[in-house]
Amino acid sequence: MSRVVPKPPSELEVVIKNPQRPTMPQNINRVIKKHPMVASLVVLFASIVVFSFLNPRFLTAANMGLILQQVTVIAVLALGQALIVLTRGIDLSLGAITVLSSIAMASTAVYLNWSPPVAISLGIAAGVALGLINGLFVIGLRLPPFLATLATLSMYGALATVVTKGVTISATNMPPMLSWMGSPFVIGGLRLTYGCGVMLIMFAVVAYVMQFTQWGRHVYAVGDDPEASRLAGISVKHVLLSVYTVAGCIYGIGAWLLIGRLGAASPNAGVDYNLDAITAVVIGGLSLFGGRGQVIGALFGALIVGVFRNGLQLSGVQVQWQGLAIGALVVVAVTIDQRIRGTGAAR
Amino acid sequence: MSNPSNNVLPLGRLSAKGAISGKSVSSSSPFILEARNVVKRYGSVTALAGADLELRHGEILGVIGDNGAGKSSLIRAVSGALVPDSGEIFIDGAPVKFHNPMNARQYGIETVYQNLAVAPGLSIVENLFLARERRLKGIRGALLRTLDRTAMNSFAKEKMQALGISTLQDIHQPVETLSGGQRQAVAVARAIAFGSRIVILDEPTAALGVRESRQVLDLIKKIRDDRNLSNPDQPRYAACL
Repeated sequence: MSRVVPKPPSELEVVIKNPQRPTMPQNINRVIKKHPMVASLVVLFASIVVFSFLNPRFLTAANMGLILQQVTVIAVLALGQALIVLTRGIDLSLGAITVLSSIAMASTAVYLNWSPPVAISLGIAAGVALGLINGLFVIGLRLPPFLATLATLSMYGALATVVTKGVTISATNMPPMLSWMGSPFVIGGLRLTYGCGVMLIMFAVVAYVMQFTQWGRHVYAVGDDPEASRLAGISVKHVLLSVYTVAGCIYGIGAWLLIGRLGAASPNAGVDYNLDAITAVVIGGLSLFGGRGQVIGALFGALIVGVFRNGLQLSGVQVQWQGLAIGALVVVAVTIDQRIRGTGAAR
Repeated sequence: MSNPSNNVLPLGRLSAKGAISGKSVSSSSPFILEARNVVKRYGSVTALAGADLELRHGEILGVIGDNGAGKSSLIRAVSGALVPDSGEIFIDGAPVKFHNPMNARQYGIETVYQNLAVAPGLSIVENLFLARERRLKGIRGALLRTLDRTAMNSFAKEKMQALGISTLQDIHQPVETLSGGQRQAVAVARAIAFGSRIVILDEPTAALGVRESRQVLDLIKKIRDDRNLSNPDQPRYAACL
């Protein structure tokens, strides 16, 4: 049986067959590889288009504002989570830190009659301290981030219950400044809360820091290759410690937003926040294996989850099915991430 | 190798406390780097039993030896990654002590590590400036530590061109998209771009194919010979290992 065996192409032929202009799929591949969040941006717009056809009430200013309000807290927590994920870490304790910070704010303001700015500062400082403790566990005791934050999740959660004795503090008893983040304003028919604005500013600031400052690039380097970073002269430990501390600060501000959103400071809130924040980060194109993706992706991820929840609800889909859809999104996002890293490492 | 100044030392002499000198460029020129009687023990294992090393201006020195012969230990001692138990290291005849690689870097000794040289996800420019980033002048640079990207980009372009590796289309492409030889070139560029005087390469061709190895070896010669690459006051010397 004679089969035509194709001759292996010579170098010249290869050059001719691969002209300078890359083909469409190659182009798409390259863009996604360089900016993984582009994929999530496309998904976000596609889902908005689809849902607006399914239900005319979806694409209204009122509904868009509602979605933005709904995702605000998760987006901020996902921002902190994104920083830690960029260093190959993961934070399971963020819900507990946020709750504990919000309790610190509310209880000092309500029970001790501290002035609101002091109480809020204390709450944010509590977030910073708890984040720092996470960081110390990770770099001092060399615990894997997953286990370190699993332990602190349990500790911080227990602490929140002990401090409050399980009692929720309602915002009606608080000075108005504590729930200011939940108060609305209207811009161009869009009804938003001040919390939404603060959230967007936080994303802008952190995105700038990550892209244009030395610290931001060092975070990427450490997440990408800790050993190469160390040999190049970066203090990996300091970078990691600072990342956990900054994340704690972000959760502390998130606690203020949470009080505004819930209209209360409750030890029972925040249970779902850990997984929701990780979901947003992953859907936003950040790699759990570190060093890949942009923090702004966490915002897109949170928005995608919010749009899906809201859109499915308006389309009359049962609540139970929402989880299925979001799970499917996670699978897609992680598959893309694996492909990006797979082709990247195969050289 | 054809170049007369590429010295190759059989390993037996390393552990037998032999000067690794051989034919040198000009045997009268002083040693830029000298190690005397370096000893390193790991528990009961003696990795270095009084090794000497001499490196002259403009010399490319290769250290060859079997596995476990002590090549790496000697090199790590000179690059500051390892603190020897005893022995002395001289730079330009003056005794120095290294406690970490940063110490050695202050004396102009740069090391290109075998596989860990570059962060794959970062761009060529970012790898070149890793831990040595340039900041903007004024308050944005001092307070916010904002990077001076324009200056870093033009510097990177200039250096890569001088090294003859400007075939890279884009200095912003991630290092993982480069071939092994190109990656090694980026690592070498990082080692020489900041005024180093001695470049140590740890098994620079270990992971490379024949053609890529050739490129790296050519690059090493180029560093030594091309005056454009170096600041004339500070000619470069490569120790190739």
